[in-house]
Amino acid sequence: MFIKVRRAFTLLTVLFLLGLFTLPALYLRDRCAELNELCGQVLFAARSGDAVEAQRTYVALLTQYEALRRKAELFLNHTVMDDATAPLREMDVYLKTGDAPALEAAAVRFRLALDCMLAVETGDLRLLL
Amino acid sequence: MLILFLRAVLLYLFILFILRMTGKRQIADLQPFDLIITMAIADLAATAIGDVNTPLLYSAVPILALFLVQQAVAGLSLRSRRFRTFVCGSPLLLVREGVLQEGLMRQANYTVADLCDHLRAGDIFDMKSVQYAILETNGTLSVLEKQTGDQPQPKLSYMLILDGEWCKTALRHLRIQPKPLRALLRRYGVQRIEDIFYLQYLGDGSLRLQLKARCGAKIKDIPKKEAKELCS
Repeated sequence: MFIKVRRAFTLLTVLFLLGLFTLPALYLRDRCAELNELCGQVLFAARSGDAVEAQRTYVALLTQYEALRRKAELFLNHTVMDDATAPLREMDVYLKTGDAPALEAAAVRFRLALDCMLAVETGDLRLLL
Repeated sequence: MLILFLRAVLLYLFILFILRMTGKRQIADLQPFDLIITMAIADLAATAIGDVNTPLLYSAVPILALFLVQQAVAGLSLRSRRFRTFVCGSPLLLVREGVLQEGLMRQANYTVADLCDHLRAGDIFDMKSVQYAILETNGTLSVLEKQTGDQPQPKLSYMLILDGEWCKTALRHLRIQPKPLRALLRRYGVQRIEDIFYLQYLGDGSLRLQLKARCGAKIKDIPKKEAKELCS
């Protein structure tokens, strides 16, 4: 009986790990692509001087990011998430002050943080060592 | 604070379950690969309990990975004696018929003082009363004491066949040739070596064997008189 339970547990562990190796990565990849696109739209609107559209897209970006964060916190280290949250909050400030270079820089940092998140979850071999 | 408490409880239950799944060896006698998993699990759990910024999965996944590796190592050890010897080592006969085996003690990094410590822990206070001492793969020392008076001194038992495979070292030591042993076994109705779960050469010179479960797990005793013919 014990042997059967152990075998079942081993099998379930393998399935659980396989699920963990693939599903969060797929989820993150899709959401990060959307966030990257939204971030690009915010920058585009800001560059073209459409402050209202930029702010509206930024709110959509923030909402999407918060939804991602709530789920990603279950499987990602919170400091990795904080690295993305900080530049995203800064973007709001620079949008309001109209500081275009700072906004661009914050967007770059936000995108880098998203890439880092993805690298952690998709099994980037550079992180192995 | 409540979160810390709950994380500790969750991890405790999780580790208890994992250790139970890995088998009783964790508690009773730690083999090297058991020791690794136990130490690593303890460390992973301690990290996860205190750091609320880290998801529990960060500890659970490595613990599950260690569990799978341990299962694989244990499974391979069961199937292959060579692999088991590689992972766990083999028992070392440190005292043979009252004589300390210096070479083997050096091989095991075992000093005379260590030997005395272990003997004292087993209520043996002088070397004179030790007939055999074996350093087991889990680090414990098994001692066979000398008989007092005129009684014959005990002899060590050796496994000649284990899980259907010859134990060549024991055969060499006892100077037993596989061919006459095979003939003897045939006389006792055992046609194939692979059907034998174990065949032991007992200290009194007789043999005892048990067939594998698929062959009925029968036990056969071969008297000393017939077994004696094997030793050349």
